[in-house]
Amino acid sequence: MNLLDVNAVDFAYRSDKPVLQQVSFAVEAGASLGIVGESGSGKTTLLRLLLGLSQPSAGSIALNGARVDTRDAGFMRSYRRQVQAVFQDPYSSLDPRQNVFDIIAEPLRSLRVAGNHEDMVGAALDSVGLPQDSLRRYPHQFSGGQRQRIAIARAIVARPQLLLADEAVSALDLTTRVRIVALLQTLAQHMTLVFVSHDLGVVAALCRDIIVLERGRIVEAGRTQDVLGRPKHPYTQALLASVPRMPEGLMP
Amino acid sequence: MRPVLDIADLSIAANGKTLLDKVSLSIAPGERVGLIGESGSGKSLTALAAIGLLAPGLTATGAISLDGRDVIGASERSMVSLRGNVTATVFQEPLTALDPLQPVGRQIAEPLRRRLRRDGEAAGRTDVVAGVQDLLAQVALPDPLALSRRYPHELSGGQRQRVAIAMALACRPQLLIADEPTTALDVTTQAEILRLLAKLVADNGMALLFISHDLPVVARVVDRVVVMQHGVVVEAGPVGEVFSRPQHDYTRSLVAAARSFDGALEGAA
Repeated sequence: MNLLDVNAVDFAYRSDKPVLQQVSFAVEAGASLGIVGESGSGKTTLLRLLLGLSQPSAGSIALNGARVDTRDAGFMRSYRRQVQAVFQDPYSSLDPRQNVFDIIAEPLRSLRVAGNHEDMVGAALDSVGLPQDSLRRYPHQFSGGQRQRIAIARAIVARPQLLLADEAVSALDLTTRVRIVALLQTLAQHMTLVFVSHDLGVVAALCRDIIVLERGRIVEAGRTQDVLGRPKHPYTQALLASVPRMPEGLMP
Repeated sequence: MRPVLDIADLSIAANGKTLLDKVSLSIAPGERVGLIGESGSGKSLTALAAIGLLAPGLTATGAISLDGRDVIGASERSMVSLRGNVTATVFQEPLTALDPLQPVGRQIAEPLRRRLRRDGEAAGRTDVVAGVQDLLAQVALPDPLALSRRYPHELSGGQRQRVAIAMALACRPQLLIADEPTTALDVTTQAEILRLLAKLVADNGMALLFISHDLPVVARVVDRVVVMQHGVVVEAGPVGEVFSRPQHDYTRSLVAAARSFDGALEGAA
């Protein structure tokens, strides 16, 4: 059985302007999927649906075969336990008035997770490579990359099955980006990752599978290697051709 | 030939903290230079200092000359004319760089009218309107007349950046400063804007100072790069040479990072 099933999903904020049309894909447990597209492709809307923040206008989303119903509070609580997210901007996604322990422990409190929270937060901090003395400090004392590590620790502390990342490395400096991508690669060995991004290079480095969205429709999907190696759709070809590359020359 | 921009041993400090330390950078007429570095490296600060736009409280020492005229210590009045005549700047976020309450045609008309007067050309209503159409056509915006009547919020990010470039071109600057001009844009739009910038710089014989953290983007538009880290220039040279044989550890780590994502794409191919 797939971990996530998205079946013929339509969505519109206004009835005459569909944002997503007939979007279908599945994610196996343990897989990593990149969702790529440009402004207006519908990738952020799709992410909102996956987070359970909106209900599809038509079609369905299911986790472990159970249909997501945003009106079912009990189901949504267990859904949030299983599905956690990391966002683009590490400066606005952390509460500046909470220390790092409280930030990372927040899902444990709000989802009423049983067990020793201090141990769980400590373990999450370890897995993102931050020292234990970070716990009593505040977000402003950390760099952008460190903040993104805190946000990732918060997302994984309740041991979700699915980690959603929305442009999670786009706001980071290049060398920091490499390190956070490496961290996500390590984490993806133990959980399922859905990574929304406009950056094909990062998706190629991180995701086994890919779907390409253009104006609310999936135009191409498959193994990342096949889709980016032999793009069939003109839009995918245009995207790939637009990615700036380093000039040819001697390798350092 | 006299450099259009010459920065020598520029140091900038705030409250005793050094932000730039002995930065030197020179751009010849028509030369295209990339200024590379990560957040906090001082690349944007260097550009702002070059056009005399340092925040109050920052003290600059060293020398900056724009077209042979001193910038440090210059009056705001003389800087206004230097900025318009010698340099023009395109910033990262075109939505904040444009006035939301004015149609874009009028925003392009303002620097154009000043430039026409400066050059002693006719600056009547019809001359300005024609000039604005011409600039919009130069930045490859379709239907210039209709477009000039629209407001920034009615345009896409790429169109707004084209308008910002048209405003800069209206000044006929010797040096175009572009600070992360494509960072906020989609990748296909970015490719179009980079092509446009390269063409305009070549056609108009302008020099270009292109500021970015994105190495492959810089490589598309410049001849020479200057790499900054923590307010210091750590390496400089022709772009091909620096990117293929980086000497400084920091440049090496940047180049390796950029190549790793290229490599992932090549691996997929």
